[in-house]
Amino acid sequence: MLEIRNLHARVEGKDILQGINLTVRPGEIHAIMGPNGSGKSTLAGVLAGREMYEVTEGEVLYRGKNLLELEPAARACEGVFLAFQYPVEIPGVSNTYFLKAALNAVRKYHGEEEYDSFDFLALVKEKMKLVEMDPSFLNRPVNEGFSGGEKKRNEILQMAVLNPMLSILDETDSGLDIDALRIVANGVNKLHTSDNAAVVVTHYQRLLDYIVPDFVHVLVNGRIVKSGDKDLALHLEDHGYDWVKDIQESVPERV
Amino acid sequence: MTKEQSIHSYQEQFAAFEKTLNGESGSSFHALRREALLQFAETGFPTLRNEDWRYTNLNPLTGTAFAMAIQPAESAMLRSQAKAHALRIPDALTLLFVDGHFLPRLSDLGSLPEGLEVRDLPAVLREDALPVGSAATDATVMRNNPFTALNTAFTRQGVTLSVRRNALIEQPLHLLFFSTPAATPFVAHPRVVIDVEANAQCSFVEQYVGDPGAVYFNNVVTDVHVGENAVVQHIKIQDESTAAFHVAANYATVARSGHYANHYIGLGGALLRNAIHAVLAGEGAHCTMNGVYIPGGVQHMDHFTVTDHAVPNCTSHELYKGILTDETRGVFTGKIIVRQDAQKTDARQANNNLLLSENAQIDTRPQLEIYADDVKCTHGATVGRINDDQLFYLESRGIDRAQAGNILSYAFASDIVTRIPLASLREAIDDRLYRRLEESWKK
Ligand SMILES: Nc1ncnc2c1ncn2[C@@H]1O[C@H](COP(=O)(O)OP(=O)(O)OP(=O)(O)O)[C@@H](O)[C@H]1O
Ligand SMILES: [Mg+2]
Repeated sequence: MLEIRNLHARVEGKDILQGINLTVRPGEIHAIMGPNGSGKSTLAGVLAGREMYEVTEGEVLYRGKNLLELEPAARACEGVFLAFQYPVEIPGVSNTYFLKAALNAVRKYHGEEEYDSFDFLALVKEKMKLVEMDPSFLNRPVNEGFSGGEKKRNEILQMAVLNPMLSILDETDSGLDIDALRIVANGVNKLHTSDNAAVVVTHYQRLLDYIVPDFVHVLVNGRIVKSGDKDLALHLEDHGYDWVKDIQESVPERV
Repeated sequence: MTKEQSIHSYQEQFAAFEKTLNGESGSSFHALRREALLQFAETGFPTLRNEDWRYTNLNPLTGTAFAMAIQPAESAMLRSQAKAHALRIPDALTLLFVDGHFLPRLSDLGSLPEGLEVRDLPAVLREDALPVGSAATDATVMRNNPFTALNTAFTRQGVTLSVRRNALIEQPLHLLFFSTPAATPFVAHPRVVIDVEANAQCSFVEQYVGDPGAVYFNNVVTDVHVGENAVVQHIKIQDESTAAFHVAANYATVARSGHYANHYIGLGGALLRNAIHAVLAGEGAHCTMNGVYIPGGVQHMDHFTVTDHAVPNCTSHELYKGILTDETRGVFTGKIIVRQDAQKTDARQANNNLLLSENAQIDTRPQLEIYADDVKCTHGATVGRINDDQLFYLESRGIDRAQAGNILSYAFASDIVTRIPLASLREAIDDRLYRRLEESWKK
């Protein structure tokens, strides 16, 4: 589904990603871990099409298409979804309006009929149950005044409504209390099928108890320096990143 | 045409206009017209050296020759033509004006609610019954506002609206000003006089529309008196042809504990000047001024507002927002005067602008003249651009850049609409605003 080859990217003239290789197949869940500032959000942003990141080398194939050539909106319509580490607040735009505009944009892209308000509301209320969100959040401006945890739930609600093929969850677990973590993880698991895939960025093994990854990658200084199965995350939890930092000059293992 | 030639042509027009007045030319109102014309000729058109007009070059207006608007033939077709441009406000009563002339037979006069009186201005003037001494006909006002003097010199067309004591008028009154496409540019000087007596409540929607591309000049004066404890919602939707000239002066006087709210939506006109002069004349009076302007192409929009706190314990709130695209130019001046007596004044003002293009320009200036010492006055102006993080957030959900930009600019403007306390009108305006913004993001 996703194939990243030797991806290099920079921001403000600073090289951040320095040769990422990663392959994600349908049905898989990948976890990406790594120290602060190692480039995890940058990778997520490059995949979603954030303009401020400049790709200097490498390529990204997504379902046979050159992903880097697509506008951000087209990527979303093609099924790429990014749950933001820091979701932005949009005063003056209600959550319902936003969700409906997004869903209808995706449907229009695929030549499908747009939802009217009535059908849309039924759908979104159904999806809200998945993340145990109160319907009152629908009338509030997007993320405005939401608590940290509420913002993260709202991201998963959007994911549920848009039903993407490839979800990239950037620290969706940070800021969640224990109950919320379970609810959000549950939501992600319910949305997971053998046809779609997820890349989960996290600092904590805790999340991976709920969302069990097929692969765990360690990103250090813009490169994947170690890949393994879910046990790698347990090992990192106990030993930190220092031991992997030492091997960062070695050739990264291919998955 | 130079400014002098332009003034001269209005003088000639006045001579011709006088001849059509017959017996009326002996009336006291006509004496006022003559004074107004003299005053206009003496002051002349404002230049950039005039502080109040510093950012608005009137050459395109003074350089155009305008014939006097003529009385249109009333027909059902004319009404539907005008209605085609109008906002649909389901519960409103419509008063139709075409080329500045009030057309009673094409207006909903049959079903006026009790307590509301509408009179055709020519009839009022024939009786010489227009209350002289209102703000707009004050000698000082005319000296300082040459366009008001010019309007007074030619005042004949328009209406007077009176709302009786204690009357609660629920249906909004929709004053629809339609300008017809004409072979030669024409000028109209409509005058609307609104007198709302004590304890009454009412809403007026003043809307200006014209065929796209039509060149004309609307020189409008409205004169509003808000009685004691009365509440007036005055909504203006300026949606003129983008080739038209629109210069308006709106004078409001608010008596004790009265509330005057002016909501302005500005979309049309090649050259627009919208002035509001509100005087809080009785203790406890309140004035709200909210506005949004969205010029496109090369439109020039100048908003000039004056809030005059003449007595103690009055409040005023003003919020103007602008979205500027293409090569447009916007001007906002917010003058707050607090007279020496006006202790405990509470005045707030803000002007926020969104620049969507490198070539758009906004000049914004608060002007505070405070002569009392125990007052609260706040003001602030901002000029910003679309927030990239918000734009990307929307795009990352499948909404293309044009629509995302449209959603964000609409969100910026929409809180002006949400402050209009008439649901039916809000919907109609929402619709119109959204379409207008869509045009600017499609490019
Ligand atoms: N707009 C920017 N301007 C300058 N530097 C930036 C910008 N965005 C990111 N960086 C830098 O790029 C590096 C990688 O940042 P990134 O956000 O990808 O890290 P991360 O792995 O997601 O970290 P964290 O675990 O703290 O979320 C950091 O050193 C960061 O300071
Ligand atoms: Mg990050």
